[in-house]
Amino acid sequence: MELESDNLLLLISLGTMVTFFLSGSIIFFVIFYQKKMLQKKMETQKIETDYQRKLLQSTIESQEKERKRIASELHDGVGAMLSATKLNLGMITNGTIPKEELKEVVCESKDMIDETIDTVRRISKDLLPSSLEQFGLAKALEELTEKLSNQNTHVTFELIESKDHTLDVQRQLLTFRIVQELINNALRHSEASLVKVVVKVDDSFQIVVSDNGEGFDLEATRKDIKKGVGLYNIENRVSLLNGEVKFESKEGKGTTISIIFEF
Amino acid sequence: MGYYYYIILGVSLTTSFSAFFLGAKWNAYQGYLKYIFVLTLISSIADAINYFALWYYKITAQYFYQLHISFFYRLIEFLLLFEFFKWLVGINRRLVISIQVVAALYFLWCYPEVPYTGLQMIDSTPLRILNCLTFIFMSILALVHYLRKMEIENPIDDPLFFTISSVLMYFSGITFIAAFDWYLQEFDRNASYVSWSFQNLFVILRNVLFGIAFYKQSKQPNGIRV
Repeated sequence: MELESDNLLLLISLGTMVTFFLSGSIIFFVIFYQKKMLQKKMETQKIETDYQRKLLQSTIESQEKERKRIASELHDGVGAMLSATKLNLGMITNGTIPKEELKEVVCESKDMIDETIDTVRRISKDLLPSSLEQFGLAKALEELTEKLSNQNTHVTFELIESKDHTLDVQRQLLTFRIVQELINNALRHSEASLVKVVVKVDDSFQIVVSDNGEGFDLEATRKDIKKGVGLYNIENRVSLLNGEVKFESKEGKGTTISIIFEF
Repeated sequence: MGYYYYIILGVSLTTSFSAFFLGAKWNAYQGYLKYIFVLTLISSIADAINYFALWYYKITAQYFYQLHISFFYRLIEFLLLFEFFKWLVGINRRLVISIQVVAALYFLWCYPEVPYTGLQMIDSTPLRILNCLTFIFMSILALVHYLRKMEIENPIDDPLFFTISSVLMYFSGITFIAAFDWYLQEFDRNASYVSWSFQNLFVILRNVLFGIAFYKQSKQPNGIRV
């Protein structure tokens, strides 16, 4: 009887210890897991914050670059032409120009005013292409590729439209800017002889810009904030379209950038 | 009966009251802690009555948990903890009603036996095991729920975590005692003191953890976290 009682007591003690140990293990697991998961969550948050910071930085840099470009065009093009025209007009008013040269100077001034008007139109077109408003995105992109095509690099445009969809003006402009930047990047950095722009319209809107240039190391470019500004800028703009962007590039094997977004 | 039993029960009673006063001092009456606070208060009273019975009437240990007070304490403990977990986990309404009905039926089935069989004859083993398993399950469910929410950086700083852990450890610890104590008494009444000393050790642990939960709650800047 006593032996059975001892055995039962032993069973209770062992059973209690086992269940208690199990419950303790569960509690320690929760502490450990919670800490681990929160650590992971914080790391992810840090990566996201860094990414957002880089995006903001790239946006600011891109804006500054654009401002500098416009300022430079206004100063060197429009400003210089208007100064020369003013000088000519001043000389005509003062009578310092001989009568026989007067017609020539007036014609020269008129040419300079025409050139200024052209420069202003070009700047305006660069800021907001008129064809985009008048004929839509496809036509604007076609014009853009024609304009950017040169002797060294051939830029082609292809539209594959299986469904009839239209983008609102804001999204059209955003898409235009993305393609413009992608082609500019390819022309500036890739040494490519061919840049292809393919726009596919079906249930979603897809853009593929590919070149046969030098390509680049994607990871290294991302790590270098100065070099990676372009990538972040594209990602930033694509995110405004609620879309996704995919960069594929290998050194010496060209670059393909695919963008997709829903209507 | 060994003097250690008095000591353990005395410590259990002290921790029970201490936890209660920790709660009372820092006014932890709101939110989920109100259930735990009331439970601690009732536990303190039940322990005090048991201690008095042990000392004054020289009642033997094996009858403690067959007393009316213990039986009612278990019912109140079940209701309070059930409300606590229901609030915490947001258990399915059907499951809540089912568990409540089963618990009520079981209690109604057990309790009327008392006048016929005598207090010491109630074998509440299945009820106690069911009680333990229910709260082990609910504690684990609450911990899973806790992990999903991922609101607290360090669980050790959270009173809610201490409360759930306390319930889990307490019921895990006493499950085997609840399951075999009745049979142990059949063989050797003195051996049951040992098992009940175990039970009181878990009560002490539970009270200490409740006390820590009350203390942690009092240190939280914005009061209750819901």
